[in-house]
Amino acid sequence: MTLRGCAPGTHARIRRITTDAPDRLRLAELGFVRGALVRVVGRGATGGLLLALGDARVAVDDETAQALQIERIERIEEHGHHRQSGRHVQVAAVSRD
Amino acid sequence: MGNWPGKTVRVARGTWRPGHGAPVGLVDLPGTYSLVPRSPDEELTRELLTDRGAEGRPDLVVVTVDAANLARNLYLLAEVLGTGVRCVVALTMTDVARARGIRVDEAALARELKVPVVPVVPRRRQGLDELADAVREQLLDDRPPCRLHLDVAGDEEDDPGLAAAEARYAWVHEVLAVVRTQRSGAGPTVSDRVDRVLTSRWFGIPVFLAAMWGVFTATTTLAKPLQDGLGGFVGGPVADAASGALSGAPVWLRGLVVDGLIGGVGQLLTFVPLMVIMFVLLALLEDSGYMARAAFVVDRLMRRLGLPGRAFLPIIVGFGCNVPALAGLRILGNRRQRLLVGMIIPYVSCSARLTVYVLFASVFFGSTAGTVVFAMYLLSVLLVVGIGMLLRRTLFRELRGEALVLELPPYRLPTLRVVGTQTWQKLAGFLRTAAGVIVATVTAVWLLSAIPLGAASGTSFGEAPVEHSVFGAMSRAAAPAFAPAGFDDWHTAAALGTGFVAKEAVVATVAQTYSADEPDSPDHAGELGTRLHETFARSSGGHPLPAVLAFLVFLLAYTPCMATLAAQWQEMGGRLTLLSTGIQLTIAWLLAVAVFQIGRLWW
Repeated sequence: MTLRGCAPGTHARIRRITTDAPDRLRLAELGFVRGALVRVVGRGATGGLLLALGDARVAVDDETAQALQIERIERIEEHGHHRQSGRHVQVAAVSRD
Repeated sequence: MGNWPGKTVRVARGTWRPGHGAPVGLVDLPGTYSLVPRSPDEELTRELLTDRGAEGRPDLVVVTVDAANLARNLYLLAEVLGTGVRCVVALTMTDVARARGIRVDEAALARELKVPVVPVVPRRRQGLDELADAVREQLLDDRPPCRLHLDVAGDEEDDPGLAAAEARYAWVHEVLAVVRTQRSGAGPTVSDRVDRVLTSRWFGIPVFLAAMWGVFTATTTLAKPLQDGLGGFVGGPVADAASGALSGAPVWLRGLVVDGLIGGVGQLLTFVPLMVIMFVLLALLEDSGYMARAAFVVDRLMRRLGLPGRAFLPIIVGFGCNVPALAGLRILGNRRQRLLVGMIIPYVSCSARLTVYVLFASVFFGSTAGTVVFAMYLLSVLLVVGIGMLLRRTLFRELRGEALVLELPPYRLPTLRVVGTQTWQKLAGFLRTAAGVIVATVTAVWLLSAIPLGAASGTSFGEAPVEHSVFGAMSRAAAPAFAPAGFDDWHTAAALGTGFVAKEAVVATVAQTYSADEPDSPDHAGELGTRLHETFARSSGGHPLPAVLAFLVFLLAYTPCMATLAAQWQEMGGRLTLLSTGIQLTIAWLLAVAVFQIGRLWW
């Protein structure tokens, strides 16, 4: 399912993002990545959704909401901590060269 | 950092002496979400930090990190740390975060990042000394700076940029888990509750309209007495004093100083209250956080018109006056969008044009004058939309159909210092650019109309009637260009000439060229009305009504005034301003000719 049409108060985990590459990167930079947890705060007067992404609030239009494929979840756990879904990302510590 | 309206979009440079140490050169980089640029402002930040390599980049970067929006801010920090540049983190908004039950452990953050973290509260000037100490210490450190390595095991369907973004967020969340604690769960904040009302289906549009009504009223009704007062002061006591002081001087010098220079300064000053009100309102709307909401509320409507959501504000203000509207373009984050909207603002019918519509409509159309004036406003809206479309299909192709992804800052009370500083900076910028242009043009027009010519060459400088001045001769020479539009006449050409300087002056010029008194009220034009009827009947070959309509259409669509040109020049540069003026004159002429040629088939 997609985020479009989700009611305020919905909690969701992002599974996939289906926009074009430049928009996808822009969304990713704001934190819309696979596994990220979002909450629908409200719906705009002429459409679009107001989303909570951790501490940030981001307004998106209907087309963008449509491109965010999600699964509903009960509630965002503390910290809005996200899980990587089936991906291997190794994180190296910060080091001096 | 964020890129909502009001954030740095220009680069400021200066010198700073951190804690009595050696002076360092300082560059304030434009705010950005990431080092992958999307606008020229963001490009600059990227260029300085990555493209120039280790030699060309700054010795040290102070990254401000918002404690109340830590994840997104750490993302940018991950990118900056990835470049290997030396960093100090200034942790801001800790008070806001604490009010929401969020605690950020600065010591843990510094350990995780391996860079110094200094909490600062700029509004109360707290932590600035500590920041200076940290910067000085880091600059003296000769060990190589830290570099963040994130290993990305990207999968084949992804582009590398996206995989890197995901890896950075994975790192961000690991850091968050260590440094950030929240008392209660991630529930709705106060801002969220306010937003559920202010952006909602029922209240969103009414609140937006009320806010815009407030802005419009303030830039028209509230500004008017201040403008009149300033204009009256310069035109009255100041001009009289100068006249008195120059009583021994030759007539031409007195005319030049009093009617030319002081007249120009007076005209410039009448814009000052307007600009101050506009800038204060802009700063209030931005600093409070409402501007981004308003853009969200009307996004879909504006998108139907093919314009960016935030363009509503300059356009609405433009109906009062185009000059502050152009200054308001700064709320548009993207430079190309600023240029696009800057080129269509002049078609928004300002209140100065209204005085001319009312005079001509009531002289020629009597009881249907109201309809004519309304039609002018309708045409103005059509021109804004139409020219916007035209420009987007030609010069601004890349701007079509951009998705709305807009970060909304939390609501907060605007601070006097921020509003005051922003207002002053913008006003100073306007005066720097506009002062010269406006004063010079008013003086030039005065000079042209003061130099006697032809039949009046016997009369002395500054005393010939307008008809027999250089200005009159130029009007006469330009008039035939308007023959296809039905108003080939030197009176109307002269009116359009002064209209190029200021639309407020059009009615006065019309009166002056007929040597009639300026009508007390535009509804009772009296003798002037009769003379106008004669002129248009003659120039249109018996079709005065379509000719008058054509004249009004031309007046609506051509260059609004010198001050608008000056404001455009400041916002968009000389080339685009000239191009925009060229387009205006062409469109105005074509429309006027079309109105007259089609109209005279009926009338």
